[in-house]
Amino acid sequence: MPIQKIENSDSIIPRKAGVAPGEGAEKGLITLPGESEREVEDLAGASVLTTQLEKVVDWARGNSLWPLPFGTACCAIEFMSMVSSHYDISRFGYEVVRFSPRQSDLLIVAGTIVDKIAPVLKKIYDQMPEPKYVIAMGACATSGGFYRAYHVVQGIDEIIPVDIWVPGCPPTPDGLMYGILKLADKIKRGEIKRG
Amino acid sequence: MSTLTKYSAIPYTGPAPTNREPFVPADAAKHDTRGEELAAQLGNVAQERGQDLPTLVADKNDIVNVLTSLKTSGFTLPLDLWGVDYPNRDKRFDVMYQLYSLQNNERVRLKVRVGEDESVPTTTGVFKGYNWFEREVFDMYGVKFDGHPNLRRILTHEQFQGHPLRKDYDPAQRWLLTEQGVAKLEPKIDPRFENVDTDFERVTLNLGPSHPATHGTLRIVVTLDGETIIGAESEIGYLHRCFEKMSETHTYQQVIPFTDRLNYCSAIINNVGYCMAVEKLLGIEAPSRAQHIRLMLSEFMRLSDHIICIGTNLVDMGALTNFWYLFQPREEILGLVESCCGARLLPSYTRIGGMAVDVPSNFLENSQRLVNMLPKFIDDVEKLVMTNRIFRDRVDGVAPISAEDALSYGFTGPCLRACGIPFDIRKASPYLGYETYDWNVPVAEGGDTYARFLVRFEEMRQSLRILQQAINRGLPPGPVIVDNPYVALPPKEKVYNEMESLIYHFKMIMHGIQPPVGETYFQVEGGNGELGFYVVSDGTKNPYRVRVRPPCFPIFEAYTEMITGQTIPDAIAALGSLNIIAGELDH
Amino acid sequence: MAIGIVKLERQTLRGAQRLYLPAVVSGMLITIRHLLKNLFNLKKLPVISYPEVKRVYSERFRGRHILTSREDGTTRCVACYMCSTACPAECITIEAGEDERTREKFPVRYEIDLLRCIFCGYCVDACPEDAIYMTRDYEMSIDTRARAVVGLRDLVVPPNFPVEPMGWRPYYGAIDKKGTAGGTGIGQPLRTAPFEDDAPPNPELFRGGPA
Repeated sequence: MPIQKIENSDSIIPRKAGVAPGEGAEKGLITLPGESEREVEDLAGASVLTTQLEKVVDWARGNSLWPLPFGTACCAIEFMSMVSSHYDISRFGYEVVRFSPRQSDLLIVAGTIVDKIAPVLKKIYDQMPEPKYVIAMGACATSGGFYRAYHVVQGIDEIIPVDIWVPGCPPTPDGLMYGILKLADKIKRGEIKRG
Repeated sequence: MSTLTKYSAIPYTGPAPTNREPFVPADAAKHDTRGEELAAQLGNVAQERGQDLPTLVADKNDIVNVLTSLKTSGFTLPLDLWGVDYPNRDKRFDVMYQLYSLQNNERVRLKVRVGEDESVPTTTGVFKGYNWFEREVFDMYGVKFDGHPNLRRILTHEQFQGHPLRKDYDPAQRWLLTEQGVAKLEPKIDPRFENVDTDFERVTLNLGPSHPATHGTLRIVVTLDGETIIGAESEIGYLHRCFEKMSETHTYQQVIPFTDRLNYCSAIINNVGYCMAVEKLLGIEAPSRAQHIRLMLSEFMRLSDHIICIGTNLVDMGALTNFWYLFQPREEILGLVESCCGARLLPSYTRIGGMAVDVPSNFLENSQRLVNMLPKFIDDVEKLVMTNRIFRDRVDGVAPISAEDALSYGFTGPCLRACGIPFDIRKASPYLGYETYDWNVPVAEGGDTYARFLVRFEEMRQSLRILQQAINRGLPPGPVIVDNPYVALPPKEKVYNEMESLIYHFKMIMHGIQPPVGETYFQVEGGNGELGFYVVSDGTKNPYRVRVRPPCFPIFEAYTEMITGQTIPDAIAALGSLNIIAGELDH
Repeated sequence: MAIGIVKLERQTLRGAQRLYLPAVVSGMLITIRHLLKNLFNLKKLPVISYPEVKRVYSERFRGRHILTSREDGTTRCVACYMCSTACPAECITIEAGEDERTREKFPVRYEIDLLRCIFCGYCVDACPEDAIYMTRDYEMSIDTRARAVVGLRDLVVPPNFPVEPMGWRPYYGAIDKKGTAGGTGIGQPLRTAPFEDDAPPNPELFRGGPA
């Protein structure tokens, strides 16, 4: 399948037409198992009015995530790239990056978490008001990466609950964007129920 | 395709570097004579021969006198202080000092042998920079320093037990830090402000590790009198990822991805530094094509590092536009790196002996496009800020440091050049052919934030000059990695078809590179200054010790002194200008 | 080091520069110029509007791994453990089994923990069988931790897998004349330029000519 490239003479980066999110990986490559299976929550017992209201609330929450980039290491630089011109997360409305836990709802842990900063991360997570979501970005935050060492937390799910894991070292900005869109998708579909 | 003609079907018959002859560098005789001169001058030091730097062994009780006399005879820059553990020896620890003389452009290495429970007199009186380095040696090895003002752990956390870099410490042994265990820091009030009016309450403020303006995880605790900072203390180690321990448990080749993550803004420079240190130990040299590629990508990465520093520094001061304007060409630089080796930020592109793969055929065209594109953006940003009254008020005279203090702390790189001292490794001890290019070292006066901005802008322009000359020369033809199957993997074409290449391949993967026994030090100019790698080999496939000399470690040490007497916004503006990369600081 | 130094002058602000407004005006001119340039050149904006527009990564991109198969459908991997030895993160777990008919080893279990993997490409460099490649796929986010460990079911691709979606491959790897991944080994003629864009370089930029 030849790739139809979109021309942009100012940039050395080639680009092509893609597919909408939620369609999984491109045709021709294997998708991870269970990609297309979605567990639908049992809504027996709920009335129409409350479920409609919940849908609106979920839609609103998914479209207005305010990230808190808890950036420690290299993944923070890729997060900065995602906020910049080429990838531009503000197309989705997520550019309101607030470094205060009281004002944000999406905690993106970008970078290695070591034992020295683990209490700080836990405190930041506790200070965030509900509903809050956590994305673990990169090999170090998800699982400790290749640092099987005496000072590195082997994955932040030792400390805080995680919603989306984004593999990569560092994940490319579009890989991270795929993760954020996947989270937004899940929120809008009502699969994540928070307080 | 021209690279294939260099390889033939005739098997390699040169001597395998996996010999057990110890490593003796080619210019060892020169360093031996210099070491003799220094030993004669100093008196009570022994000399170690056959090293790549003049190496002297001093007794621990004499070390302060030895350092003082070296300082008066010209060795004014304290580069590094680290330790090595030889558990089989009687006095198991080697505490090593490295000094540099700006006038004569030479280095000297000092070793002090200490046993397990012995302590060494502190040298913070001679060089201010050794304060944190001694804390690090205490943290990692348990060697105490008598008379040190603040001997406690620096990189590992407060409830950590044991000393990790000792050979008998299990690399995976972790200790958890509870919230109650976090240290409460009480900054000492600077003597100049001791008798300030105490009617007002003094506030202690924590610019904690999670802060939008501390780039990465740095913690600074300041005591404020109104708006003025009268005392400050900083805490690091919030990204201590145990690089040095990990490099002892991985093979030489596998350490290369670890080096990427040290200064992640300019990752190729770290790769190059480490690979050249190991190549020095092996006594080989990368082919000229590989050196040219290394030089070009190092300069691109230096541009990327300075872009991040200036961009984020301006964001902290409120000028967000420059961030967008600078990150746009930076994405193109990362696109170029990605087209060469597959990863944008952390390439792991070099291998010991050369590069992993050859560059694509449009590398020079794309580099030329980038070199044409970048000056527009840099000019725009410079016009936006440099004559802007608001910006100048924020950076003029902010966090100054005098040249003597900078030298005493061990500054290198743009921060030292902003104090007026023209020290650049690329000119002082050139590598990769930097001496054949026509470029200048920018130097500014004042040592404050404005001077650092001036130096960084001009350095970006000089990097573009080097790049243009490199593109004009073109890539030299030839292979990108040495033709030595004990150092580099043989090309896959031969691995799939020839038996002996398959066996070389297996041996390389399973047994790794086994350099001769010895130690070596190699330095490159990183984005922040001298990035040095000290590698000790014991002949096995894992390094015995890899020490990285982080350029921003002494710079951040001086930070608290630089900001006392200033206000919090000044402190934030200054922090960005120092370009503290936590990955490198905490290695 | 007296040669090669440029002393930078600290410029003090004089005259009109000391007023705040001229700098504001000149700054706005620069930003408005950028705005107008972008406004009238919407096609040349640097933005890659993911996911409607996707970036084409190079053919050396280090994305998710695949295990290739031979013409007859068996995996090329012979469970030699080279990749798991070369991996700095120790994220590859292999269990070998023996095929009675051909006496070849094959992997009974081959798992890569994508969360540990640092995507360095050392496994691809280490493979002597032309089995493991990396593709250009970077969309790997998961919401259940167990799905991160990908096994044979997700890694093995059918024979004659096209070259196009592939990224990091064994250098001088066996991309044969048909453009499919892998020759069968001994005696198969191999292309000398494994990457598609490794065409003969522009002689203008390539001083000295081929060696």
